[in-house]
Amino acid sequence: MKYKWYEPYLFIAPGTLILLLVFFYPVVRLFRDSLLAPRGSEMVFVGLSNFRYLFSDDVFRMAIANNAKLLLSVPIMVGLALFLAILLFEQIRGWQFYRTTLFLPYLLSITVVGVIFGYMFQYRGVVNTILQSIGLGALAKDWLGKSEYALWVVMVVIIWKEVGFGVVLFLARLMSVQEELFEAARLDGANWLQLQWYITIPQLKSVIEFFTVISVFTMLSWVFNYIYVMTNGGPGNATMVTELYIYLMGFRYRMMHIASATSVLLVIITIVFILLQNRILGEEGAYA
Amino acid sequence: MKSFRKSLAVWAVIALLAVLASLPACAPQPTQAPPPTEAPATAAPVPTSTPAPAKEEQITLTIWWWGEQEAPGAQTWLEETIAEYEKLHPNIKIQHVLQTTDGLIPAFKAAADAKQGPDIQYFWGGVWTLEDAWAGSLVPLSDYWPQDEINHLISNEERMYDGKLWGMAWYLSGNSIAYNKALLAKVGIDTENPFTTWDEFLTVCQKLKDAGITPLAGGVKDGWFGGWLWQLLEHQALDSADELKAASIGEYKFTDPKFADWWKRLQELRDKGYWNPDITSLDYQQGQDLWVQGQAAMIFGNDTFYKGWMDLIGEENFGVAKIPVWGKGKLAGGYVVTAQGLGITSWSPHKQEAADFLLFMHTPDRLNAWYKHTGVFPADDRFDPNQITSPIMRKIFGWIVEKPNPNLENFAPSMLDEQANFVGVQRLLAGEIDAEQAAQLSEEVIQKWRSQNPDAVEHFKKWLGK
Amino acid sequence: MAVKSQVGERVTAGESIRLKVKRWAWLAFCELVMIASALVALFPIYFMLVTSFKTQKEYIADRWGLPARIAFDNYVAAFAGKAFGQWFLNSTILTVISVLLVSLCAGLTAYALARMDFIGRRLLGNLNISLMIVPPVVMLVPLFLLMVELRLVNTYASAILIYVGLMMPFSTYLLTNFFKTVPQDIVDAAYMDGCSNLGIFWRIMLPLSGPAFFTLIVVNAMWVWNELLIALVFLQDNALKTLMVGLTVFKSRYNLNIPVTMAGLVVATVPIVALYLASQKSFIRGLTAGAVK
Repeated sequence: MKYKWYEPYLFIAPGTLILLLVFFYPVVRLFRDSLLAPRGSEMVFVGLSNFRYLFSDDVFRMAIANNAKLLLSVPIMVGLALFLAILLFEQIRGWQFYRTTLFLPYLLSITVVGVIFGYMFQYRGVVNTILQSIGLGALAKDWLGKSEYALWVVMVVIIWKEVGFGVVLFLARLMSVQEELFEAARLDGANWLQLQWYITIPQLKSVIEFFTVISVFTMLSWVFNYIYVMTNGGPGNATMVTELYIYLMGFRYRMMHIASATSVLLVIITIVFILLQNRILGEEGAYA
Repeated sequence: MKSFRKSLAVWAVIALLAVLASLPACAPQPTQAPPPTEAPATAAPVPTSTPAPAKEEQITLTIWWWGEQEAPGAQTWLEETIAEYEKLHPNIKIQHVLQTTDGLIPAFKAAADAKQGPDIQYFWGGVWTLEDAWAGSLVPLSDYWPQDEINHLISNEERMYDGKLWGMAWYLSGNSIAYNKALLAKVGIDTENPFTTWDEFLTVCQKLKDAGITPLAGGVKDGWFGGWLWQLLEHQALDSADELKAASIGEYKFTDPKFADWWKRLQELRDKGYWNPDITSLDYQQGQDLWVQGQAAMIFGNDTFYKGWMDLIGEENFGVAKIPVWGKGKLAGGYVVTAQGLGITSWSPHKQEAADFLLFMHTPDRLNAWYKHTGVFPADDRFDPNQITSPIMRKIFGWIVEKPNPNLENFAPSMLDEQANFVGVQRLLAGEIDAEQAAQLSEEVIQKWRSQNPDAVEHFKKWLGK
Repeated sequence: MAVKSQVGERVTAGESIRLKVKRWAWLAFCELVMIASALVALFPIYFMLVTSFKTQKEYIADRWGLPARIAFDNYVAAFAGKAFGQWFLNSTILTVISVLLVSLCAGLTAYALARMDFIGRRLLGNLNISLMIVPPVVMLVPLFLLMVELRLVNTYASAILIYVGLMMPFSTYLLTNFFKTVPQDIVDAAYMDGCSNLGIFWRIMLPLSGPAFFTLIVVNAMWVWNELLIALVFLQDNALKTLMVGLTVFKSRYNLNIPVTMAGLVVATVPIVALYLASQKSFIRGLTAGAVK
């Protein structure tokens, strides 16, 4: 031993302390608070009544349904990123320029992106102006003002911003694939599609998985910023999502107990997704 | 991405801990653990002043307020008032923080949870004041002000609870319809008295529409306008605000015609196409902008804005009318007005000093200066109406004196406003629901509110006098 | 090369031309798709930039054309009224302090995880990974109640503490992986010279991990700078608002004047894009680090 037994603990102390404070204390407290409700100035044990309220609340059901709808965009996003990365990999002229360009949206803050698109998709906004100027005026809609479009518009914006990350990721991995693999396949007479199917996708399997998982968690629990800035859950509750619901319950309507119960459900859903992911993708050993 | 299976063990531990932690919770517990006696060393200095210790005799009062947004000029007036007061009281320093519309309430609730924050806080009337009084964040103004001073304030009934007055009325904010005279004249409408009844109003709208002019401007994307529309259209169906309190605690249903019919009026305006077509994608201020630019003829407006609007479109072009009457309640035909106000927080160490400063705000000189700076009426009967030079503002002041009506947004739980009115108006105007479904939504929301806020229900009962 | 020439022999001249045409058509198709994608990616940014130089009148008349002239009136207007400068400062303070703090805490933890052996090491490592996917919104309510009890609401300290906590798992993970790649020989030599672990951390690990730390700092700084939810809840005092929270306010205050809002957005974007341009390579490496084993 080149160090005293307690030395490692000194090293991990500051970080661990913060983790305990920021992750563990809140999560433990959350599970407890989700079973309590205020009566007068006191918190009393109410069993699962907060959860019963949640399941009877249309707004909450809508939030969950919207998160589920947002998940639909994951395959689109992964597919699009893959497609663009493969095209870029053909080493077309200016591919580096395109890579930087596609990555640019990923750099912008969601708040900034949300405000820009908020204006662009207004009824008198630039999107409709362009549609009219190319003779597609009939397609002009009140994009963020109508329930049937608002969530899809939000989805388009999320894809617009996040797809560049996937492209960069896939391209980086593609460039490290040995050229011989492609060469050999071509010699065997593989056409373009076969080439992608038998070489590119298997080679990219791990990054595709990674990007898919990241995207799933994004749609599940990282869309607050988009929604808050672009629609604030409206029109009606058409773009309500779980995160916004927690925020509103906790900090607007002062029903912290309902917010806690919602958070607990979100934790459980997250764990279920992790389990599913393990089941589907299989176990490959641990990091540490 | 690799295995998280091992982390499951961690989650199991967390769940176990949580169950253990919830066991003692079976017995009643205080909402919050008492705050530690001393703040941790890591605490950064609190930026909003905590009052200086008494021994230095230097006192700092902090005011968190709002109002510049609806009464431009308020900030200049407040700064002037503070400067004068500090001159008279050299040992007192007053800091003011102008809050944002969305931040006003959350910031105060956070301060109330921490029992640290402003000495004087801005409150809208009714529940917006009383909810915090019920939460123990306010002390009654009537404990610190002499009764004869209180008698001068206008609209005190909004802030009365349990025989005490919980805040000071500051200035008045009322609603009417503002119209662009030039546009109305174009289609041959009497620009002095365009309408009184709902049917006359619809006729005016139709004429405008036939001439290719958008009759009404608005924006409901940020919600607030939905609350205005509700209280303006609904109040005329009621005999008093008490009926709304009674409905909130379940004595009526929001699907009863008395409470549901206003949705039909709103639907009428929608079905006939009288609103700007992009009303659902604009915030209220953007809708207002359309009107100011002359792209729509009329707008449900707030009289605190009128001075600014007159400057923009010219006083000769600016007309106001009372909300058209369709309802048969005793409130019909009145002028909806509320007093925006200030309250003294329960944690302030200088309540008497705070009350004294509030008194200073109501000295006649300050009242008149207020009107000069903002063009908004102060909520005090010592205000000299001769100050009002604009005939339009004179007309409005006459309405206020003649028949002031309560603003219903102050007499129902704010959850009804935000989850039923804001949401319902958005969906109805987007053509997704009809009046009946909207009324159904209101009833569902109020039931939800009752089920989750039993204490507030009790307060409402007491407020109603039961 | 022999293989290639064999193939060449089998291809007739006609086939070769056909292949060339096919190849050319394919590349043209790729190029077209990329141009279209680039346009879509750039248009909103173009829209923001152009609008920020227009007057409100110009904007209403022409939503997406070029401005008549380049003038910075809107930028001046955005900064007028001290709030904007204050928000900018707040964001800078929060970003700098929390990024430095997390680098230090994560660095120390990662060192122990990578180079030392102790009971609980595997647990801490696994824990760290599982925390990476916990949605921050879940902790919002209990953290708020905790901060209320600690009397830290509306202080920089509350937000910094939470930011550091939320950044810890990924930062620790990245640094642990990097520290593991430092050759044991160097560390052993330092031990021989009588260096303590802390000495090794400061004098060997830190200098050798320059690129990793740099990446981490850039990625974390970008995250804190752009964060909205925590700032919204914990820094409600006007004097403490961050730029991102401010922008949402800004939007409603200046929504009558869209060009001024756009100017505000440009100012908020510049620091991050500058950071990116200054560190393009390590930036991408950092962002993709999670995917690379």
